[in-house]
Amino acid sequence: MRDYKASAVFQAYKDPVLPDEPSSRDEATWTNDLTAFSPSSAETLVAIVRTLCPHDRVPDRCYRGVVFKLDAQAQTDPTFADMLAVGVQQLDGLQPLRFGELSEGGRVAALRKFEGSAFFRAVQRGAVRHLYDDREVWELLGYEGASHHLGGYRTRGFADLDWLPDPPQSVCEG
Amino acid sequence: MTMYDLEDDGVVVIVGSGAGGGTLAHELTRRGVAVVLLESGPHLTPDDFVNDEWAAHQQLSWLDRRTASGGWRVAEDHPDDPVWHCEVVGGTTTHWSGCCLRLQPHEMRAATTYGSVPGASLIDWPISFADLEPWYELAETKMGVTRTGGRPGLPANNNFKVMYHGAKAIGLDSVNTGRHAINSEPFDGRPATDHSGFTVQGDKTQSKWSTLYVEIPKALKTGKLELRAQCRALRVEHDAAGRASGVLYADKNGAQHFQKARVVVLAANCVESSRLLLNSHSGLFPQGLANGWGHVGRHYLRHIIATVWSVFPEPVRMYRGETMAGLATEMAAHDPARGFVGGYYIELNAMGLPATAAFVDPGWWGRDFACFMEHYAHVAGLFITGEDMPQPDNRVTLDGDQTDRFGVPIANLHYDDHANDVRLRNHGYKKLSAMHQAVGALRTIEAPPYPASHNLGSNRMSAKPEDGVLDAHGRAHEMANLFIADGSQFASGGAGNPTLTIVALAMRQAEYMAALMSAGEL
Repeated sequence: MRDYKASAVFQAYKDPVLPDEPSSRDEATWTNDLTAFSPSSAETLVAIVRTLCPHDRVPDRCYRGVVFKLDAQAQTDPTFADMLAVGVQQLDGLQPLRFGELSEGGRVAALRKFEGSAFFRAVQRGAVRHLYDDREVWELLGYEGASHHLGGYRTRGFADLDWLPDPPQSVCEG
Repeated sequence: MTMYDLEDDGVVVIVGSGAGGGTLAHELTRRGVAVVLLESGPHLTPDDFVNDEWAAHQQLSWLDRRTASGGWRVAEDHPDDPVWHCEVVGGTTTHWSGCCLRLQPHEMRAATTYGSVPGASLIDWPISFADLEPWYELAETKMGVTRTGGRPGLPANNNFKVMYHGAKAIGLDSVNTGRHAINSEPFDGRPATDHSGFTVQGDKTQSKWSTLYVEIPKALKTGKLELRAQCRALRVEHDAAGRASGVLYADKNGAQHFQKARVVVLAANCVESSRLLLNSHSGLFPQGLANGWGHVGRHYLRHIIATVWSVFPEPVRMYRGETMAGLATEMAAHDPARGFVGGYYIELNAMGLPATAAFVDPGWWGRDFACFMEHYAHVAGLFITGEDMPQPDNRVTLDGDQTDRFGVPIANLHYDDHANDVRLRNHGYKKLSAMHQAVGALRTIEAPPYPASHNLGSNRMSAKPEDGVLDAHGRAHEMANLFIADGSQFASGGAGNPTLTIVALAMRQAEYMAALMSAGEL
């Protein structure tokens, strides 16, 4: 598989009506704004999400953003909160090192032991749901997001693929 | 807006405002018939739609829980939401991708054409393609379908370019940008598409036909329609003679009301229409309404929906432009030499990054998954919609123990693949992969089935009352003033996207109902 090519980078947009991401994700004290997870659980969850969806170019703040979303869910769902707390504790207790301190291979092996559990499923689904809904991740991975507010793609390249010949008119507008 | 009294038993009450209910409301009111249209969801406008896959999903979808059982992959991946349709004024016509295909004549004679298929409960439609053909023409004109009535096709987008060359490489010469109720040029006071790629999240430009901003406003202009949004139908009641007497519903505050009716029409999408009939059981009808022969909820169809995603060496940017503007029809023919009955259409498909990540293979994680996601801008998509076999135990039932917030038992959807389904899907995956491989795909991923938006067959039409629920006009065999106008009427699924057929049936049903009402026979 070829390496990802740094082709033209297009800015990504969230629909203007949607709220911004929490700004505290960049700070060392980011865990202060969480209510359901302890700082140590939160850091383990960041490491779990990065192991599930490992993008070296995606900064920590995007993975922390996922943990914010899981925290919000845990606030309204005590069963979910407990399941995550217990799962994180078990994961951290598997090895003499905490989960986040393990090498990538060690983290993958640890998670494999939990595959099939409700905890694993909840975190894995949550990771996919939230990480790939992050505007910065969109930009890094080449998705432009909302487009109607920019006039759609009528004049912004909906048919700009140039490595194949254009189909004849008869199969398009006719 | 006209307001009808709850005690007015001269109105037609329609439950559900989508392709069937919304169209029927317009076609009846323009003939002077008084209609109360109950819609469970809110009355949004295109300004409310959001260019965001998850936000739109929350906004438009029916979110009440159903359960899933059976061997289908959806039960495993989506156990609490096995079905995907909308709950807003306009129903699933707000979300749909605009594909407009007619049933094929042989698909309406599924039992006769396919012969005996063990385990499948095939029947023929009680009407022929010739009966429906004039209504298809009217529906295509109503909706502004491209490649019909002199309307040009949609232009090629990036994803279609890949599809086109792949199709030609393997001999699928029928390939073109398809037939869509999406304006390629202005039509009916609505503009051409802006190619935003978000038609499935609700079309903010209104270039796609939807009952929300086409049929319902036209019906309101007649002065004969009352639209009651955020009104959830709970039961259809009947009198001592066994005729429908009206609909019990809850308003947005949870207060219950009973609207009397001359005629009741259910168009609440498959699962809810069957659920309403089942929940309306009474002393006279202990199995639910229209269910003397036990077919309500059964023979549920969802089409064989399969998608492949392929990574190419160069960027594709499949998210730009109309999502499903590509069609190849050769595989839709019935060709039993392939090892299965029925056929499938090959269509273009795309998803944004969020949905692609969620649906490419639920549960996939690690470096390989991340590598695929890193190549998102290089991904092209293809899709099949094919005919699945009706089976009596693929069905909607009411869960005995669990109820919703209105006290109505929640629905369970049970589905097992038939061997014919497996063979057809297998053939389709191979065909789609071959198309992309022929154009240089580095890697092709076969995505598993996800909750369908094609929900059909669970209150089917039949020539003989013992074989179904409805007659040839969608009228309940057992209740002369009870009709159904959504896809649950289908006696077979055929291969193609069902919306055009639902609209054609509703237009035909309106003429029939209005004539009977004028003659005092309904």
